[in-house]
Amino acid sequence: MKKLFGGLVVFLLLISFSSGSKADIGDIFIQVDFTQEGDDNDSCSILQITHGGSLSEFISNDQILAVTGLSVSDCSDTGLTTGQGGLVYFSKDTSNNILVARPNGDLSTFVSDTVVNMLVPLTVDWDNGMDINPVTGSLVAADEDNEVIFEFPTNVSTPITNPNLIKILADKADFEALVTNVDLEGGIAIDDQGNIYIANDDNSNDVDSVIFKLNSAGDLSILCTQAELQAATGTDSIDLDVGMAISNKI
Amino acid sequence: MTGNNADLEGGVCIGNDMNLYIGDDGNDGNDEPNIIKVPVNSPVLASLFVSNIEIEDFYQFLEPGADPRLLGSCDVQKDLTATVPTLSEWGLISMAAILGIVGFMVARRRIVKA
Repeated sequence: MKKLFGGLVVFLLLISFSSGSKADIGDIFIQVDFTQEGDDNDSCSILQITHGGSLSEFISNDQILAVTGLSVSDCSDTGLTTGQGGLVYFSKDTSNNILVARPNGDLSTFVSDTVVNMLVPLTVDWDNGMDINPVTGSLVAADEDNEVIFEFPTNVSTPITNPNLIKILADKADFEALVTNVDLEGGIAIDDQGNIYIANDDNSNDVDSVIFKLNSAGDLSILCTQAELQAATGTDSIDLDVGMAISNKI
Repeated sequence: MTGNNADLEGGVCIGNDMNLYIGDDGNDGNDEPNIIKVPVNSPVLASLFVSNIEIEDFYQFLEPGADPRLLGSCDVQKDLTATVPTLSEWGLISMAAILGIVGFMVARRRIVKA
């Protein structure tokens, strides 16, 4: 009995040491991209900033390269979101895998582009748009090359290798029923009812820089037209190319 | 605030503290990344949260000679609650079976001793 009790204590100690969190509520995670002279495709880091403004590196370029097996990484035009249990999901531009980091800094592949590419004709490109659905807990990501909104379960073992677990919530044809020029590079955000807001960046700057709303029933509509965005900002030039965020507390 | 033309390419994110954080990559061709903090309910109180000097100083040893840029996305940690492990239906059946076998063995041992 004494041996059993001793073993249990050692086991609990091991668990408490191995699950040490590097992250706290309110910490900000931001992707930092690095350029060396003459190289625009060099390295990437996830910077962690505490509520008080202290800086530390949450995920290093070496960790990213170890997981992807590549020699370079690139954090420009890429997405990042935090999820349940302190998980941080993010994409890079050199390979289009989505990676997931645990609060203790362990990094692994959430889903590889090879698996997602089984569902669409072009190589996927996660370009700013990524968020967690607070209703379902799933990860929703916008693919800028196929113009598709994907949903990935987060309660399954990772990496996700079964493409049947991945849902397409809206595809290019759905968006083209509402606008002529589709380019989902402006980010997505999800409210606490599970409605998904998607920014469309009309590169030709005609009339299609709009914000779509995809409700939880799957109905797609235009929430804000380009004219409404122009009136609100007081400028003719609308370029939705960065990201969106929703506060559920206002 | 930053001393440069803003180029908001580094993402936007909102924390539970009702502050909006914006990644500013600085003017095109002269990347000087800053992070700006904007109280959602009082946007006029926007302030420089992390300056380009702080970011460049922080990375000068980690990425010597590299030029940090904010061109991706950001988010704020809102939930560190670990998911609660649960037993599946097969897990419950297995546990009941194991407890039954152990109980039977203990009871049998006591009967033999008596």
